[in-house]
Amino acid sequence: MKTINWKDVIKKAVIYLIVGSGALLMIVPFLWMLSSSLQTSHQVNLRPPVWFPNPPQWGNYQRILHYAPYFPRYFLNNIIVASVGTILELSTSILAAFAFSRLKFWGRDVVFYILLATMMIPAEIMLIPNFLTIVRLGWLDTYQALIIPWSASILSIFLLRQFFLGIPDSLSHAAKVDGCRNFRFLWAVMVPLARPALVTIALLSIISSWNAFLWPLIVTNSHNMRTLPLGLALFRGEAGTFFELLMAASVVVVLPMVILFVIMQKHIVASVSRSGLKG
Amino acid sequence: MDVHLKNITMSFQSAGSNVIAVNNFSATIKSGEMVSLLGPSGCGKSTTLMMLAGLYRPTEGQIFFGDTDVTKVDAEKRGIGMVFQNYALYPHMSVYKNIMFPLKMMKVKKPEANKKVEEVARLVQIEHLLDRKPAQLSGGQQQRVAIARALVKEPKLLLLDEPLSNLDARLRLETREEIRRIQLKVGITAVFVTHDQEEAMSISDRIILMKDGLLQQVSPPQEMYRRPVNVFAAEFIGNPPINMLDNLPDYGGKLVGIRAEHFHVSDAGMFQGEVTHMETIGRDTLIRVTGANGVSVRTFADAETRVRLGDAVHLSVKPENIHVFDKTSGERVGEGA
Amino acid sequence: MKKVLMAVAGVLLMFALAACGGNDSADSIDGFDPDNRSVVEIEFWHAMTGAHEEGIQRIIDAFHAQNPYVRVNAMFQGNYGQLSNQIMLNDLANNLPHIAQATVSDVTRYMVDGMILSLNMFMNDPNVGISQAELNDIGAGFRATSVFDGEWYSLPFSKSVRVLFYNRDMFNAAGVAVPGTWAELLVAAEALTNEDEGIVGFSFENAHDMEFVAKLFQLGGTYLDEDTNETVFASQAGIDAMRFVMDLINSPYGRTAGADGFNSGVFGRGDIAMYIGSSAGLPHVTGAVADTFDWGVAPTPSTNGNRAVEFAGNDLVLFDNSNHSLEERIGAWEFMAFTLRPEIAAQWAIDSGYVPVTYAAAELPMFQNFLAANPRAAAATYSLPYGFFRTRHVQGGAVRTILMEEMDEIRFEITTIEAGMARAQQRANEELARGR
Repeated sequence: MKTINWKDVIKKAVIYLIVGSGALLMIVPFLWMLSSSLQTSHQVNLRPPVWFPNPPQWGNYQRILHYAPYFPRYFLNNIIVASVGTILELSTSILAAFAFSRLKFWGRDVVFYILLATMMIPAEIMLIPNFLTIVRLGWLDTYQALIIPWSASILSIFLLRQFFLGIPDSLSHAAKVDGCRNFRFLWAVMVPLARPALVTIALLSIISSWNAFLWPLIVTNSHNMRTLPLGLALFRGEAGTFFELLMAASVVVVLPMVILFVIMQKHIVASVSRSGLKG
Repeated sequence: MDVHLKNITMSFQSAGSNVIAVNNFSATIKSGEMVSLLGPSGCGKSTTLMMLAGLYRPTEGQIFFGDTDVTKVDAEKRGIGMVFQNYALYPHMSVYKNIMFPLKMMKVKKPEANKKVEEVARLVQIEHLLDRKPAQLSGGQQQRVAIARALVKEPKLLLLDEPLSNLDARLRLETREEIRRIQLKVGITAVFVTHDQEEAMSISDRIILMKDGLLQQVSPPQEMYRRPVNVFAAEFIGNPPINMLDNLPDYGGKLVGIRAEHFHVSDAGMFQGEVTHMETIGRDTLIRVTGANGVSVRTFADAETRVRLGDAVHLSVKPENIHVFDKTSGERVGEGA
Repeated sequence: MKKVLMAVAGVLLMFALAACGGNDSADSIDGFDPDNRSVVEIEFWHAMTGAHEEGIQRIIDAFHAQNPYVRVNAMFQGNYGQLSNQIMLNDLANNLPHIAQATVSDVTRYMVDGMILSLNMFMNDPNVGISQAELNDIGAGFRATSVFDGEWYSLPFSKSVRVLFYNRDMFNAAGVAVPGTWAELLVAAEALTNEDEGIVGFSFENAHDMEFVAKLFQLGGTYLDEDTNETVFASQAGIDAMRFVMDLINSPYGRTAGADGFNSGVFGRGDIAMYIGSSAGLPHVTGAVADTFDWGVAPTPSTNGNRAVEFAGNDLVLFDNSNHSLEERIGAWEFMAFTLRPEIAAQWAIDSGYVPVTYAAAELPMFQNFLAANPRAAAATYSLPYGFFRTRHVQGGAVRTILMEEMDEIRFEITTIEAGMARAQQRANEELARGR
């Protein structure tokens, strides 16, 4: 006869309740965004709010284009900027972290700490000087302006350097004996081992690129060059906001990131469990 | 290929002061020999091995592989294979890829590389593990993979850095036999570093004993056991450690060393005392006999003589088994009379 | 005799020459040859979205159709605040556009900083200028903020005015007439409030300082004395005006938009019977109501026959950037002047919901027909003659912020009306004294 361990049941129930409410709290705004994107202008203002608009206004997604005809272009720009920017950031981080962790050169640690110190400078201070630099380079309203300034990140270098420092010397010795020198060792051994750190860096980079608002706002002028977050600004008028359209546009902006997370999430877990670095 | 180390010195700056890890060290390793670099931690044995590998560069001196001066040659060009203490297997690659790695670096063609990998895998008996990743192997298996990787490129010299210290006691026995078997089969010159004198004794053709960066003695194991050149060698080699006696009559001013197995319980002898400790380790029974003046020695009680704790016994020893050392220099000056 | 003849001939020659060479007239722009023009591209930065942006494109397309020398490139730069920031940033980089929208205090600031050109030289040019009649046709209320010492520094473009949105069904059901005075509005608000159904009679927008200033002006008060460079709104008229607004908000018949941001949504779901807001909010109200009830738009109420109502909105300015050529500047001016043409201004007003900036535009049959077909758009236009700007002082924005902060304190009874207003005035004057 099976006996039910009530203590365990209650414990589990409580845990699920707490975790579940947390999850619900996180997900409700997204559900609301989805729901209001399918409502009419009238419904979206109603209190108490309408959760299941009937019929759902799929046409809102069409109307976005009417309000912001360049929206698909913004989407393309976001993808270009996020992907190229992330690839560049990964490359510079790998090379710099390698130099700072494995190579010996005069002033290496001093330079690293100075770079680290720059992280303390608030971004707002840098905004105008960076803008002027972009103008002087003639890069205003170009992809370069959107991508290049963000193609190196001190935080990523720091993260990766820490990771590289954790790789035992014996591994690089073994590789050296095997005929694999520094640079090749970096790409053949260190980079594959650093996959969890690289995934983190890539994710952070993609997300900050995707959501960037202030910098693209000031370095781009034409619709051709603008990015998605700027596109969202088109739905806020001076005398009111078309929330149902803003929400529909937001769904379009957020969806790729959500999909990315779902895909990457499995990858992150797999990386963490796979890394059985012994010794 | 003979390996010669000529007046090798390795010194470096550490916390402001000059540390000499290896001090004017010279030795020759003959082709096909298995030599161990033995000594306590910090004696410079690992440093010497790294210099042989080319991973460290000696501050002074020269290293020759045969007739070629390789002192300034990089590790990857010396044609050596190395097994590290923690195996240093590439965790993200399969066993097969790990072993293949050196061949890939040498740009050996796929079919030939394949053959070599399978050959060496058979040699170390891991053919069935080729698809696994290092994390899925036991310590002993990982070590064999490391050996395979070191041997796959048919190096002229095999270097092993404390290969057995990460294994449990029983595995150590098996594995050191394996290593010796492989080394003899392939006929490769090998140097391995260890702090375990038993290990060195069991599988080396010769032992190079080091202390504080200085060479102490180079001899085949039995010779080192029977004729240690100084106090350190005498005390380091042999388990249980040699009994060192001072102020013995007839040997005034000199240190006398007598191994535990060379004492015999008898009716009369040079040493006399009470059995104060007894431990039976399987085949042997080790006893400690403490004399009147508090000095004690270890020896074995053999099966015939029934000795018990608290018994008063006499211990005798054959003169040829007495080692005499100078007190100041520690050097061996002769045998007993 | 010969000398006299020579003199007469000389004078006649002078006249003849003056008559022939049209370009030699004193008013034409130096260096501009209207017969030898090249195509120029000009940049126009704006803060218009959606239908507004489409309206601008329409103006541009019409302009392109009749001017082969100028190509206008309109660029959305964000909302007014972001547009203003972009201007300041690009001024640092010497990368200003040719034309941009600018708020009233921005116009003053750009003028003081020497960033924008005086338009008189373009206005007076015989080839590209506009006549005095056309200039006089610009709404009188707008001139106050465009003209400095007789020089025009901007042209009005996107102007809105406060109007009263009301739920006609509710009014009819309660038998209440649409209020013409503030007193009538109070009565109506009380009659239409229904606590059981959660309906409040009247709502202010969150930026209800505009209603306070309108009431101030209606009571004969003044906001800022430009001669003494001091704010003077804490007068008796000001205190009365403030008390009026606060009493209404804190009574059960009045509220503000609050967390909803704008009243259009609150109105659309039937939580209020009426509210005063920007005429530019018309499309939002249309969407929010969506035929669930009948509603209308009326001019804002008056006090003692004074119908003062505040304007909001932007002008167009022409920037003085060193890398703009003369032909580009002329081309930019031509576009600006084009927006004043009656059909263009009328069409823009129709498309955008802003008020027409010239009388001629307002009187065009096409616009009158539009009003007839869209009575809700009429209230704004009829309010034109009564519109005002509270100030065009360069620090107008800072003063407004201070005023609104003190109004919050008054509203939540952290301070009294007299004390709050006195402090607002004092803080504002400190700000003004400090200069920019």
